Amino acid sequence: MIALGFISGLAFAYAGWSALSIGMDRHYSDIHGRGKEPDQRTRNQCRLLGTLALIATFAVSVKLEGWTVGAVLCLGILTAGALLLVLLLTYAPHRAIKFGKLAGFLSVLSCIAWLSAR
Amino acid sequence: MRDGFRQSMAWLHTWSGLLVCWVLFLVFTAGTASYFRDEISLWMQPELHPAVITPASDVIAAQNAIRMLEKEAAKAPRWFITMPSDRNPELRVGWTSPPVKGEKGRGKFNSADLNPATGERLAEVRETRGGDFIYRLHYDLHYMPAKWARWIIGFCAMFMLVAIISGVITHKRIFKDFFTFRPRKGQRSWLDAHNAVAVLALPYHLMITYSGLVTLMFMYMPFGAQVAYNGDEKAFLAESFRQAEIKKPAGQPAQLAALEPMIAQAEKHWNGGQIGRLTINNPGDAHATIQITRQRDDKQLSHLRQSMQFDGATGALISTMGDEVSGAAESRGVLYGLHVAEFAHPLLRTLFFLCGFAGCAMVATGALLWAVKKRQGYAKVLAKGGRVGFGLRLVDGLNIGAIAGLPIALASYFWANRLLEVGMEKRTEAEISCFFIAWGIAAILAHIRPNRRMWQWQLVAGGVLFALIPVLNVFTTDTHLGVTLFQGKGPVAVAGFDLFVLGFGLLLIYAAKRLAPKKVALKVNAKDKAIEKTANDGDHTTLREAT
Repeated sequence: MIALGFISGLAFAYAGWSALSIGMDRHYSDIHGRGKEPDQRTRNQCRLLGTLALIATFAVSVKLEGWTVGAVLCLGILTAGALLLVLLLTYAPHRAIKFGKLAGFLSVLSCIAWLSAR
Repeated sequence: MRDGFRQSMAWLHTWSGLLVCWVLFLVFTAGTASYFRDEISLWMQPELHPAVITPASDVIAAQNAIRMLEKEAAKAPRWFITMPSDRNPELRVGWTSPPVKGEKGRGKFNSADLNPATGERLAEVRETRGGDFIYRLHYDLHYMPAKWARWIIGFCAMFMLVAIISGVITHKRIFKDFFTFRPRKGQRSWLDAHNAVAVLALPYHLMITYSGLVTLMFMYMPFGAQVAYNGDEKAFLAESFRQAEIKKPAGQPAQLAALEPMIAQAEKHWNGGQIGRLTINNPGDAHATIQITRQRDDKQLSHLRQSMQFDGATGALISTMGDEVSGAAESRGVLYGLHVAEFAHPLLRTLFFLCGFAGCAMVATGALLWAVKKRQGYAKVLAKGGRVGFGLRLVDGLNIGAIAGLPIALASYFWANRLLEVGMEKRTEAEISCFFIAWGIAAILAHIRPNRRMWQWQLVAGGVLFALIPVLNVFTTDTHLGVTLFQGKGPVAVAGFDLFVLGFGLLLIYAAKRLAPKKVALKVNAKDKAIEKTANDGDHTTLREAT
């Protein structure tokens, strides 16, 4: 069961970082073409979604391992998720939105599965 | 502060990093591997792979261990018994041989793995230090007294801490460049890679460096304690860690009291907490003591464990330790615990390993970045067929020797473990010699020809050595991947080790391939030929995946 919770946490972290990066000028123009800039609304939405998903990562980690080890686990998962995202943004930026959405769905689904299986 | 705060920090970052980066690379690599120290040890003792371990209750296991020690190590001044745990299902006993008269130091340390249910040895295993060598290497180095080594490591770790903090200050676009990596752009790419692995795993880097210093803080900063205790270090340690008092042997033989009531008392005192380790001083003597230490708790970060001390002859409780821990001791215990990560289950352990790997990459890219920048200053000289200066040549040589050479050394250590004859004299030392001989050769060659070719050669050598380890296993053991992976037999850790070295070896070979000079530069044109020449001379600007 730990594995399912772990996957959920990692997917939340990846989705959160994705959302944050998609709202950033550099990555937005990498994805949508040179010179394009996100409008203020998109920017705010991305930031909000990203922050929420990162908080969810923390919540899942704490639920998994308790406050002490959970906090350590959260930092580890955040690092792993961000490193994955850097690779994706470098070598396949146009897939970033698709993968981010996928990770979002996966995180919620696995989180529900994990919580109901506990 | 010649050019403002940030510039002076950049200077500090460059030099505090460069001066110690090769030692740091060793420390990071060996330390990262140490997260899987037990697994490496298991892999290096193939005799243990088919061992069938029958679990037994703590009382039976402890009694079996005592029986075995009474038979084989009756004269030892001290016994150690490590109870089975999730990660190590076997029962491990250790004892120190009585010191030989006329020789300095303590007696030799011996250990054996037992089947908990029967108390019999699991197998006659080959002599090796396994993962413990790699673990010790990361703070005790080798071929020198541990004290010197720890001072060197502490010095380098302090530089590392300075480099991390100054690096954060000097990094102008820490948030804007958070996810940025732009490949195939020379120096730019190296800087991006360095930033990404450093920033994204920053909590880990800070934690591991600081907590590493904390583990040895009483050696580096003894002054406060010296003043407070008037130089009586023993009194300080006894009070801080509540270490159990060890009496001198009385010289009168006495039977050890029954273990069962002591274990029951300990488990009751810890509200059902399991026992983890037993230390028996002066066994068989009237002044024997038995110290029982609690099993580690997965939910606890701290390295400190509760323990209880009993009188060995009567079985009476002498003292309990660690029930109430002071804030300072607990803080240190948590930092120590974070550094060694014993609380981490396999998934979390993998994350620690990943972050450690990022640390190795950070040190390596930092070292390369210096060389890449410096080489640009020589671009005109090189284009005219000139040579680079002494400093750059030296750094290039050290970079190759450390970054590409260390994998060769590690792989040689594993090869030696499989190829050296099992019963040979001083086998343990021979394995370690193989590590250092391989590394020495790599380092010397790197200094003779510090160029791109040498990078490729050494990366390929390390990669091939690593990637062929699973093949070597087919010929030297019965638990190769064909058995562990496809038939699902044997320990999972062994399969994991084989798969990792295979992947890592292929990664090194891929890195070497990426280093090949670009075909574009081969156009028949006088000017381009000159460019190609500089490229062949070791132009590191396109050297990207070396780590």
